[in-house]
Amino acid sequence: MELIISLIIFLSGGFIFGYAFTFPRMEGTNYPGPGFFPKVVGFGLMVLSFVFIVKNIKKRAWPRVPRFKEIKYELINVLAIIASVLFYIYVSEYLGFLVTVSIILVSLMLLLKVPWKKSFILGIGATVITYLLFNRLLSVPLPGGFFMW
Amino acid sequence: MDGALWNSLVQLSHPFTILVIILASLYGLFIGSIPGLTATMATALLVPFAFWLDPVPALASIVTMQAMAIFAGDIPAAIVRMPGTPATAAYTEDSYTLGLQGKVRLVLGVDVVSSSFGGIMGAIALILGAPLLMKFAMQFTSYEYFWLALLGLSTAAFITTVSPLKGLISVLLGLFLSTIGIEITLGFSRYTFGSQNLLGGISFIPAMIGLFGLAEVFRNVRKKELQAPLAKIEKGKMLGPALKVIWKYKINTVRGGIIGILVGALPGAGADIAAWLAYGIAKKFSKHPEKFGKGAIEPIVDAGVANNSALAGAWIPALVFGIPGDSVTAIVIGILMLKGLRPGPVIFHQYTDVLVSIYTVFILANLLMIPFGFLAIRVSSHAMRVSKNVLIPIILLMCIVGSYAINNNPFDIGVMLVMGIVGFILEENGFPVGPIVLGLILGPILEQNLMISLIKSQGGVAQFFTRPVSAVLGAGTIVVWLLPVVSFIRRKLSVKSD
Repeated sequence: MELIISLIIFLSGGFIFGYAFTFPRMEGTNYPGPGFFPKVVGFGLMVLSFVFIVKNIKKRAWPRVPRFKEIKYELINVLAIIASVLFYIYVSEYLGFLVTVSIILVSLMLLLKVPWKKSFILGIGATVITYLLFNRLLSVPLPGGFFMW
Repeated sequence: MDGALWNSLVQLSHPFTILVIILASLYGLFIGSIPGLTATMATALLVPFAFWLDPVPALASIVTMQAMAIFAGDIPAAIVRMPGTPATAAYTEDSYTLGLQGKVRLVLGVDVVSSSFGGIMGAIALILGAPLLMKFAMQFTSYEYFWLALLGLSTAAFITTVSPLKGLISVLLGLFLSTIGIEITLGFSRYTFGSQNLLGGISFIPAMIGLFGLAEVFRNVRKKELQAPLAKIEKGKMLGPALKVIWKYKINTVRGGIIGILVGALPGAGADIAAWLAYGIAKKFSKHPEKFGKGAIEPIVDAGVANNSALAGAWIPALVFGIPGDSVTAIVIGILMLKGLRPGPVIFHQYTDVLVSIYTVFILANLLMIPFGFLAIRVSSHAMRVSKNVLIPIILLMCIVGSYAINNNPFDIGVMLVMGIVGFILEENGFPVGPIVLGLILGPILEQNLMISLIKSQGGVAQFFTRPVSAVLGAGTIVVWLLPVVSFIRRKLSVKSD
């Protein structure tokens, strides 16, 4: 895993470095322009991640693909969290805060094996409290959705 | 100063501020006593609320919440052998072993008192140290600020992490994130790829909530919930025996306090490292080092004092230079900037009442800790029974709403998500997240002061070393850079001689 991460950091570093060359320079002066700082950062990332790449190749620490069974539990949960955030970003505008968040909370609690009665009461309760707290008390414009005025 | 003290007392005695302080205390005690939920996460989730408050109650809520959370982390350590926050990890084994011997009350009593003492020592250091340093900071120009930012980033990367190289990568990633958006010298937009949302740069608060809140959610859903049997808290007195222990180990108390303040003031190192260091030093000087780790009360005093005194210690560089001493003060700087208060000498001149309020709250919070702490110990067995599987979805909701609430921009929720995933993957593979945040917040300070300095000196570098203070800071930075190199060479040499 460290090898993969180092590779990604190396490529990102290269990109940051290379892309910084497209930034304008202050002509006729001898101090560096907007590209200077990112170039240093990008170059630094390349050098450091390269050290880890070499280290891992020397140790022959090839990334191991874990068996689905071993990581099933955590994989499903982690993906569910990511999916919940994406669901909120894309759906809350249409369904509104109350409906979207209730769906997210209740289904996550059910996934984490909270008893279903408790999931519904706490999930919907927490949604309503958060709504009142942020929308009414702190006047954050939370999405109302299609059936709110 | 007297007028400011009076003003701050008036502001703090406002019923609303008192309510905020009490709620923040309860919140801190609750989060702190749940293993796996950290004080930093609690702060990140508090930000959307703090954002809507006036500066004094906002800062008061963070100070009290954090002090309470770091203490409350001690409770599950003694009862279920799990530190409530990383700051307790150093002495969890001792706490639990003593707990098994039927001394839960004594351990928890010592925890409360040592935390309170530590907090007050830290507060005194902050009150005395910050104005002194500020006089010094007044003479700083862009050269000194450049070195200071670089020194802060270097200590964060090299001294306070297990792997200096990984720490450095984290710092650089943070620095890169800080370059996104409009740049100051030419007003050129960098790495925005035409996105309007990125022009202003990566929003700090959503990034923070992602790195500390969402990443924590990921970590917690990976593991199945353990229902550990709870140790029983026996009946009896708490305060008296605890005070006796503290009196017996008064040298440890003072030593722990000083270590905590110094470590706290070091950028990137916070309460958890302070506790580990105080524990190690206590062991070196103890008459009974063999008992350490096997149920000794002595290191609990040292480390328990240190982790709370570190909290105030971290505020010193944050208020004086705008260089955060730990992750929480990094968040605090973010809030101050949102409120238009730029940390540095200006705060000391124009916002004396805010400053004095911070001082007062530090003292107040640590006095409140004694009654609140004892109360928390009483109800702790209930708090620990709250299922984490119920809390996690609610924390996720707080992450989403919190990152949206600052700018009312759904894009920020995306920033939070990306930072959460990145932070989670990096941390799981040994890349520390703290330095990323430090890089993100110090990046602009570092780059702007570098650019201003270079423009002033017409591209020359000599001026970075010719001013006396700047030369000292520069030399300090170079020493910090050489430390890992020296230890690397020494390791290689000792391997060869074996």
